[in-house]
Amino acid sequence: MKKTAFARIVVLVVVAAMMVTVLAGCKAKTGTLNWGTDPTYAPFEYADANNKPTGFDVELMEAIAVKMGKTSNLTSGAFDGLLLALQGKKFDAVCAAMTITPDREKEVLFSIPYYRADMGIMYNPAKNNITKPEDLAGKTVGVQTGTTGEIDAKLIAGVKVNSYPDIQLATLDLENGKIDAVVNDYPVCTTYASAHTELKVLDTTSIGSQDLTQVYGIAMRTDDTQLKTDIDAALLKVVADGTYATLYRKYFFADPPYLPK
Amino acid sequence: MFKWSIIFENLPFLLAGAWTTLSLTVVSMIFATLAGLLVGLLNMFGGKVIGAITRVYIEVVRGTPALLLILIVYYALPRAGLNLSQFPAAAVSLAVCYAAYIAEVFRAAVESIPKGQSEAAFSLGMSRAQALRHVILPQTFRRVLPPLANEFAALIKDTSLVAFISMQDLLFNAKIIGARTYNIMSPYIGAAIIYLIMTTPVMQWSRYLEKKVE
Amino acid sequence: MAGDMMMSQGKLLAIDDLHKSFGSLEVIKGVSFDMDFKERLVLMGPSGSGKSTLVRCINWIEPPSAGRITFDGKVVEAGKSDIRRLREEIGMVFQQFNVFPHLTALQNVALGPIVVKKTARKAAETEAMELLAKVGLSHRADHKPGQMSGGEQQRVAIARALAMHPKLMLFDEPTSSIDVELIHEVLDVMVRLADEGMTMIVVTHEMGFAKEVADRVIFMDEGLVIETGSPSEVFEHPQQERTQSFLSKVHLA
Repeated sequence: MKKTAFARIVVLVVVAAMMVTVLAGCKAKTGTLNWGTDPTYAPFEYADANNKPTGFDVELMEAIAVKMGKTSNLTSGAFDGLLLALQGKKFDAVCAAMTITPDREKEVLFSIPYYRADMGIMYNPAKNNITKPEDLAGKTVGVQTGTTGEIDAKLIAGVKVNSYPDIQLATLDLENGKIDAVVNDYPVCTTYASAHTELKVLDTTSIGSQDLTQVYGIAMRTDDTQLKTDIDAALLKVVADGTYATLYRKYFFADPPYLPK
Repeated sequence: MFKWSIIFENLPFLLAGAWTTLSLTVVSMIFATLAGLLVGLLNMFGGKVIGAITRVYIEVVRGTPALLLILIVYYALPRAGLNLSQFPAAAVSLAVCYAAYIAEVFRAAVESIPKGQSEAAFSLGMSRAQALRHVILPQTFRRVLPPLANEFAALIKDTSLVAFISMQDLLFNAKIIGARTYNIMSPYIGAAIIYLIMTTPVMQWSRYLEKKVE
Repeated sequence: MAGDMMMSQGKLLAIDDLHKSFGSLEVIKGVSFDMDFKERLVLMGPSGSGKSTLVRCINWIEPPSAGRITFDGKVVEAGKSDIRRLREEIGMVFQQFNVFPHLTALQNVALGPIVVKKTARKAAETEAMELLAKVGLSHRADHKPGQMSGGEQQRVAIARALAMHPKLMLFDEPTSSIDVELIHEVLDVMVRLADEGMTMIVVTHEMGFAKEVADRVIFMDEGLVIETGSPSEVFEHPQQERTQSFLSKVHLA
C-alpha cells in the first residue's frame, strides 16, 4: 500500500543520510600532521593552477611533517575560523602567516618563529605618493579584520581604517580607487603588486616609535607542549639541511635574512 | 573585469565545492525536517513543560544568526565529549539551526487544518496520536512542501558559512580562485550561477506541487 | 443516589444537570433528560440555544463544565481512555461533514475500524462497501470528497460513523450546509436508519423529518430545556410562549 512504501523510502533516505555523514567523518588520521590554513594569501598559502594548496607555509609544513615521519594533512578554511577550529581539535596546528602577538599567545601555543616579515603599505602612486606611514594621515586604508595589519594601521595618526572580512575585498577597493592604501604583510603585498604593476609597496618597519617587524609562528593548542617540541625540532632540522633556504629563495627571490632557531 | 574563461578553467574546482554544498544541504535538510517535525509536534502536543522547552529552543534559534549557531554547536559538541569531523559537525549544526524554522512550518500547517477534521477523528474514537498520523499529518504533507522548499533554498545559501568551520564549500572555493587569479568577481559570479542551478529545480518543483494542491 | 440509579437503569443515556461554559459565557445552564434504547430524539431551538453544544458534550468533543452523563449504565469519567471507548460507541455526524479529503469514500469509512478497532483491512473494506451501498454511494467508493456534492459527502460521513457500530448516533444539524435540493438524500438515509432501530439524537430545523421520525422533541432556548414532548404535542400544542414564538418563525412542513 502507498503508505508503507512511503515509510520505507523515508527510512532508507534517513539511513543513507546518516551513513553519508558518518563515512564522511571517517578519515584515517594516524601518521599525519593535521593542520589548517586559509589558502587565499599568496605567497604563503594559495591555490596553484589546479587549485591545489601551495605556498611557502604549505611546503614548509610538508617538510616539517617529513622530518616528523608523518604526512602533511591540510584542511582549508576561512582565516577567522582557524584558531577556533584548532581549539575545537579539528586539526592540531595552524600555519597561516600568523604573527606572534602577546594577545594570541594567551590563546595558543606558538612554535619558534619561522619567518620574519615587515609590514607593507600598498598604494597607487598615480593617486598618492606615500614615502612614510605618516603620509597616510587624512587618508583611508583597508585592512583585514583580526590581523596585525589592522592593529598597525590604527597606529598611524589621523588615518581612517576600513576593516574588511577578507583582504581581497580591500585590494578590490584599492584598485577601484575607493581607498588610498592597503596595509598588510610586506611579502603578501609585493606578490599582489607584482601582478598589478600600477601599485607600489612601501616596506615599513616602524610607525613612529612602534617597531612593526613581526614574526610568524605555527599555532597549536596551549596544552599541546609535546607537539610544540616535535615541531620545533623538525623545523630546526629543515633549516639545518638547507631546505628552508631553498624554499625561501623559491618564494621570496632572496636569501633568508632570518633563520629560525 | 569579468572573464568567462576563469569560470570555465576552474569549473572542476567550483563543482567540487558545489558537491560539498549540495550534499551538505541535502543531508542537513533531511535531519532538519525530521527534527523539525518532532520538535513541532512536541511543542504543540507535548504538554506544558515540553511545550515550554521546545518554545524556548525555537525562539532562541530563530533569533540567533545562523553563523553563531553553527559555531556554538560546532564548538560546544567537543566540550560535551562529541568530537565530530567537519561534515557531520556541519550537518548537525545546520540541522539544529533549521529544525527550529521547520518546526514552525509544521505548526502552521497543522493549525491550518480545520478543527472539524480532528473532531471527526476523535468522534470515531481515535487517540490524538492516531488522529495525527492518519488524518492530520497526511493533510499537512502537501501544505508544508512549498515552505520546506523555501527553507531548502535558505539552507543552501547558509552552507556558505561552513567555511568558518574549515569546510570547502562552493563559495570558499570561489574565493580561493579569486585570490589566486586576482579576479575576484568572476569566480563569485560563477558560484552564483551554480547556486541558482541548484536551487531552481527545487523552487520549480515546489510551485508545481502548490498548483497540485488546489 | 438510589433514585437516580433506578431512573438510569435500562436507559441508554442520562444527562444530569449539565452545564457548559466557554470562558465566562455559560451556554448550557442546567439540562437534564434521559433517553431509551432505540429512541429517536430531536433537539430544536433558535441559534445560540446550546443545542449543538449539548450534543457535542455527549461524546465529550466539548467537555462539560459540570453535571453528569451516564451512558449505557456507566457514569462517564473524564479519563482519556474512558472517553475514547465512549466515542467508539457513539457516532457523530457534523454540520460541516468533516469527511477526510485525502482519502477516498471507501477509505474514509474503513479508517475508523482499521485504526481504532484494529480490524483487518480486507474485512473493514468489505463492510465499508456494504455501508456505502446502504447510503447509496457504491459508485463513489473510489472517489475523493473533493469530487462529491455536499449530500454525497454527508452520506459518506454517516457511513463512516456507522462503521464503528455505535449504540447511539448524534446528528449535529446534518443538513444545514447542504443545498436544498440535495437535503432529501441525507434525510432519506436518516429515516431508514431510524426505521432500522438506531438510537439517535438529531439537532435539526427540518420539521418534516422530526414529525416523521421523532419519538420525542426537546425544545431548547438560552441553554435550558423549555419544553419536551411528542412531535404532535410540541408542534401542534406548544405550551411555552418561547416555543410558540420559535415555531411561528419556522415553516411547518
